[in-house]
Amino acid sequence: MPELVLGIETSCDETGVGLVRGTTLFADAVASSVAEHVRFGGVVPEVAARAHLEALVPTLRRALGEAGVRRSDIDAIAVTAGPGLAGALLVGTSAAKAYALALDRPLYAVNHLAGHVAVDTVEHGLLPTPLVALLVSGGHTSLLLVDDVAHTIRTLGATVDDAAGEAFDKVARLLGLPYPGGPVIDRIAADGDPAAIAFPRGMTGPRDAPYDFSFSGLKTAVARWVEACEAAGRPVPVADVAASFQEAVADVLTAKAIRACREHGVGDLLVGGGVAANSRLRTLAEQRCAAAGLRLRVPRPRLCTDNGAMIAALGARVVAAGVTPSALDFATDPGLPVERVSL
Amino acid sequence: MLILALDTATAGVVVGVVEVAAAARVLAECRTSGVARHGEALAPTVAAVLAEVGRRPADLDAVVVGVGPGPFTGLRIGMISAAAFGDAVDIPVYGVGSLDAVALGLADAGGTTYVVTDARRREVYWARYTDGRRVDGPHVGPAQDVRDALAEQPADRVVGAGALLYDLPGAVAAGATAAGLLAAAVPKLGQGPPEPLRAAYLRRPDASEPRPRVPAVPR
Repeated sequence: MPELVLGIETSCDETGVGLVRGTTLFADAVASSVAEHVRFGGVVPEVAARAHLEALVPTLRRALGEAGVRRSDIDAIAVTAGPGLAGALLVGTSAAKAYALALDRPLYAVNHLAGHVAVDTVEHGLLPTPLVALLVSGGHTSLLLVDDVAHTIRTLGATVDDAAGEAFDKVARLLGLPYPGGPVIDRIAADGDPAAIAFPRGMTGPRDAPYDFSFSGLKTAVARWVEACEAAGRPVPVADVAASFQEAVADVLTAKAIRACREHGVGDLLVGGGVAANSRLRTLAEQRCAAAGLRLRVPRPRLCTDNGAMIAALGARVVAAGVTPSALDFATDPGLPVERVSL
Repeated sequence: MLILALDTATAGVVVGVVEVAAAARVLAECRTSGVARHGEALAPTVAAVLAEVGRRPADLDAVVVGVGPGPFTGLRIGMISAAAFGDAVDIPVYGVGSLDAVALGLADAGGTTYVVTDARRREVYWARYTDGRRVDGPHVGPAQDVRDALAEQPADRVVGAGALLYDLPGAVAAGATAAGLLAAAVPKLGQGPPEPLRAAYLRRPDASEPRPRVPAVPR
């Protein structure tokens, strides 16, 4: 029987604890501090770190309860070592080290981004290889070529400025909508016309890096458009702006992902990260993959946002691959590149 | 009763194993100073100290941890490690004031003692003790606050890295010790389940609310 892996995730504002055995999800407990960040319009690192300290042990207890297992049933512990917020990461890794030491179990310090890929194993089974992964969240936007999620991942491209999710937050703010922007824009865009305004598609010129992204120009274009509208004394067609903005994001993300699959001869695309919960991105990815003859994997929205199950799922792959456990003195790395799946 | 004592509220880590019978006896202790890196140093130090006394985590009866005040990131590392360790082996975790652990760890705490540690940003954490009992603080503020307090309440000793850093009169080095952590916890040991750990941050998070923008949506 495969090992029961405990996964601990504290890279941003979600305290996540998951339990996975092989590709079976046993528990996925998450405590979010998002409500505490709302009034600041974004994640405040110190607020997030304080919340992790309070929430971690109770969340772990909840996960054990969900799974109906005891601490002694845990065979291995995986924890996010990066990338993420420094102070937040240290809460999770310190807890994981203490559990590993106290329970005398191997510890695996793993990569958050690889976790967003590996989490799909608990929904759709083992990953095909190779695989192109499009990871989009509030902190990351990257295209990855995944040969083996346990140890061999290469970055094809990434955002050169804002992450896609960050653009959603900023546009929401421009439109007077609450933080976080992703869910609210998705909802309001449903009543708008995605073709109403032709917002720019960043980094899509012939001389631009084919797999890199840029969303800061798009955000500025939306700001200018909204301000021009206000200056002219016209009411801002919020639903149309939201739908047209969302269309621009989904268009660029999916076009580049499909191109990456085609140019690397890869038949499978995975879309993960919090922005993968966006309905337009999911629909457009489905349509374009079908048209291009690609198989698409998108975890359910609950597994796309940050959680402990993704780290447990990645831990399960790393353990199965026979990777050497991490030493108790490993250091967190807020800028950990995805190429380093484990430390 | 075998107790693991931890503190990461200053630049170093303090880890000790203390046996409490009729009297408390520190079986092993490791104190580092200088470079922070608590996240890397703490767990291996706990492992080494336990190995030194030939005990396993399951042999422990309680954990005592300093809850600050201290620089936040380091402080949390000790606190979450203690909480996780205690949860893993199902033993109570007692929080004690980190400055108290300095005062009570002194060989002689008679009379008036000021404990002053570095709070960064040109400030200190400090508290005043009479015969080992905290009578003022903990506070965070400029070293001048301590000078003002000293003018009113002269000290028999002024200890801690913050006192040295700001050259307070009579400053000597001292830090939290396993014995001090234990002494601070003694009134709580065996008095039923411990209270939930609460960090003594003394400062709010640095964050400001964004300037309100006139909403584009009419309300």
